[in-house]
Amino acid sequence: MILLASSCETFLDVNTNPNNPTDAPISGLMTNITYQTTLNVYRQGRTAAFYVQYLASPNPSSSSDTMEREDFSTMWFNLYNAMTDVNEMILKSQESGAKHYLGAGQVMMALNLAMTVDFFGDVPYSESFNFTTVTPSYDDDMTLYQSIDALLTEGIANLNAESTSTIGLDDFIFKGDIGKWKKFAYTLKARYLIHTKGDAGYSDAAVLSAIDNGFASNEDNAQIFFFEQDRNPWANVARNNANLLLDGWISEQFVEALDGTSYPTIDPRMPLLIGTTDDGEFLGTVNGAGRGNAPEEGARSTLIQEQYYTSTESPLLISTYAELKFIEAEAALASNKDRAYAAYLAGISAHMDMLSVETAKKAAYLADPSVSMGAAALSIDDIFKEKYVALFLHPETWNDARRYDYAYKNMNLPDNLNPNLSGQFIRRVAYPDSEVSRNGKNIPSVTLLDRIWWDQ
Amino acid sequence: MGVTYVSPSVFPLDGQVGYSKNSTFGDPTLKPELTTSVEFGTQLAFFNNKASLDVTYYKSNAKDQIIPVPISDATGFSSYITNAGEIENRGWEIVVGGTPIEKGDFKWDVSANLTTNKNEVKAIREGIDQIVVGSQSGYAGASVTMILTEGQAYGNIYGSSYIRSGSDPEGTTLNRGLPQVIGANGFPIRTGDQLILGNAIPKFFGGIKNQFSYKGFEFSFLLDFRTGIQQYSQFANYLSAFGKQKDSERRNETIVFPGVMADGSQNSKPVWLGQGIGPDGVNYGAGYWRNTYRGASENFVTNASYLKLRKITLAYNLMPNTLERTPFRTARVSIAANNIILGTPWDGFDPESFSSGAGGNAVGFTGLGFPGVQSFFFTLNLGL
Repeated sequence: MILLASSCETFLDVNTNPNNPTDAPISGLMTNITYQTTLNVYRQGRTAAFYVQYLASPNPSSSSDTMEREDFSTMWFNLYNAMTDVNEMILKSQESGAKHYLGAGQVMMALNLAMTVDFFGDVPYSESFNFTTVTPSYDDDMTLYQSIDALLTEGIANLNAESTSTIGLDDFIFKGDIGKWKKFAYTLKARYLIHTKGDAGYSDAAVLSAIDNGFASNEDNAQIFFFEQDRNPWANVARNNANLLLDGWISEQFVEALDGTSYPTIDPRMPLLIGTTDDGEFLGTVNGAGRGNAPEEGARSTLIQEQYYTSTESPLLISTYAELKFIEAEAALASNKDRAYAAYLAGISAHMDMLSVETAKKAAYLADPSVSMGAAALSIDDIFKEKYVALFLHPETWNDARRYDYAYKNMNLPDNLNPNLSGQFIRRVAYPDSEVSRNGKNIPSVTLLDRIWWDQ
Repeated sequence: MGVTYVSPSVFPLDGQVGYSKNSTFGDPTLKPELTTSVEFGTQLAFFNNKASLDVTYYKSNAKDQIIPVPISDATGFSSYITNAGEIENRGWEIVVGGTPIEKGDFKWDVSANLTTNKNEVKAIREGIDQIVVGSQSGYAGASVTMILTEGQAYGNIYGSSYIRSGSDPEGTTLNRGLPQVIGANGFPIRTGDQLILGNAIPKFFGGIKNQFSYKGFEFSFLLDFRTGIQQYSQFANYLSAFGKQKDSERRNETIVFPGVMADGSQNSKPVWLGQGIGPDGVNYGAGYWRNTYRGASENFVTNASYLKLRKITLAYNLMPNTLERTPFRTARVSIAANNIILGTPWDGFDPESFSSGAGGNAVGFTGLGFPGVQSFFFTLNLGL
């Protein structure tokens, strides 16, 4: 009888759901955070790739090529979902004194927040995550950049302190290497500072001093290597395309940047990044124009499987040493041309090493006078030209393009451009339909030409 | 209830299991819903029960409705399950019936009913301004949402529209009677501001049933109607993005859009409705329907009233003496038809088909749901 009674009690206890625990381990949150943040980089890269003409659609007038107003409700959800989990991890680690988790959390929050601001401009933050209000207000994007820098600074301090628990394999990015987390935080500092070049309060020196503490080699790259059970998303794109679910078609702009058309040299990285037509040629698709009468396969360059970016267990890059070098080149250009030139060459070299370009080809490319023009002749155009290739498929290129006013050589507006853009390139994305319907009163009224604060 | 966590199904990866905060927040102070309804009416019969009239007035209030309210992802949750508000429904139900003719072998029965409905969202929980019941997407910002707001009716469909001259800036409902504002390029201008474009709950509905019988013949028909209802046609939105809708047959025409310019003068700029370079040398790009038309939800929220012939049957029962020489006791032959649409302003296949859209069981979104089937029957019933 006693046994029956006790089983009745637990049987009728329907209010606790074993599938939804009311608490989660910090390490579990860390795993999901590192995983989703990396996927957020992919999701943004997916969209930005069409705006900066890495990729083009095989169909004419596709909304991404023509820079139309699209709905980014899913991307918004994924960014805020990641930030919500980071917030949870920050609260828990503050309670338990796990300073390393706190520091890493602050770095991840800064990264996700910056990704959100760079796409959407003013976004909710100070009233977010803790359910204080059902309709959080939107914070000013310039103020948010200050919060991002503050988060990175605090994060570095916490990473330097003693922690009650150590990060281990639950961290998919650095596997618990605190030294690399600190370098990553400094690298991000440099990245977000360089966005503000040309705005009040910017200083090259601040960027350079952050760079000195940033990544020191390709070994430090912030990336996740994907899994047999969960393929690298770009690998999926290449795989889908091979199965005629068309995707990952290369833009004419990118092909011409590599094949000797826009610039004097042929880049040895080209066959390692993109595929050829059935005749062995590299041929891109014009953004907005589609493939015309060309068939679905064999007539244009696309992403192909088993390459550096597109293998099952390929890394998905969050931030690289190569990117840092190009930031250094840009920051040092005014004050120290020798340093800028060395960084520029180091950036090209680092990217080539990632792709495992043959030593002889790499040396030949670097020796070409159009690439090695010497410190005196180095210009901002050269830096951006090489950074464009080194950051293939990365959303940071859209930030570069907007700062550079899309001035890449031979970069033209896409065909059938969205007429609401009045003949200009897009400067931001629209707020998602989900926010329009759920938080409409707080949304600022913007067009696709309204620039993020650092772009003005 | 409260805050919970989930482990996304992609894990474990490399032996690690990730956790995420559940995006649904269950209000820990949830109460049960309570519905109070009042009905009063009268039932009258005349002429020895040959005619009847029922009239009823009803009013029903559902309080503390438990609804998963979609909330801004920036709050840390996407959905808040709570006692969200109170909805009131009221109206009249009238049933008239009788047997107008009963003479010899001929009988005619008729019955008609009419229901009117007016509903209102009486209150929404404090702290929430509006509740999104559901939404359905459309190209280029033509998505529509069904939102409940205090003081408004249930079932309002909100979406984007063309800017109208003279519209009330504080107004919440689109006034389609006002002239459109035409831009410098000759085309109407779309605004993303969400206005009420229509309502998906019918204001009047009812039917008439008639039955005639004469000797062995039976003839009956049932008419069904509803009116005062609008719906969103996602299918029409999709067709318009690809030039498949009937209206795009005028793609080689040059027209002047009726409306006023920003300065109030009448629009007189002729524009070509095709794609690419027009006969006037101007580059129209992807053309009117892709650039302008498909992005305005108002083009796709249309009148979904209908008059349908639900069922019509003509039958003949063979007389017993005809059947004497056959092994059958009874035989009946009939032809019938179901669900014939007699009239509807709806330009899709069937104004009654719907798919519930995203985020709930909202009506009013037709999506790509299958239309109802119009059918014809020839039946022979034989009894042994």
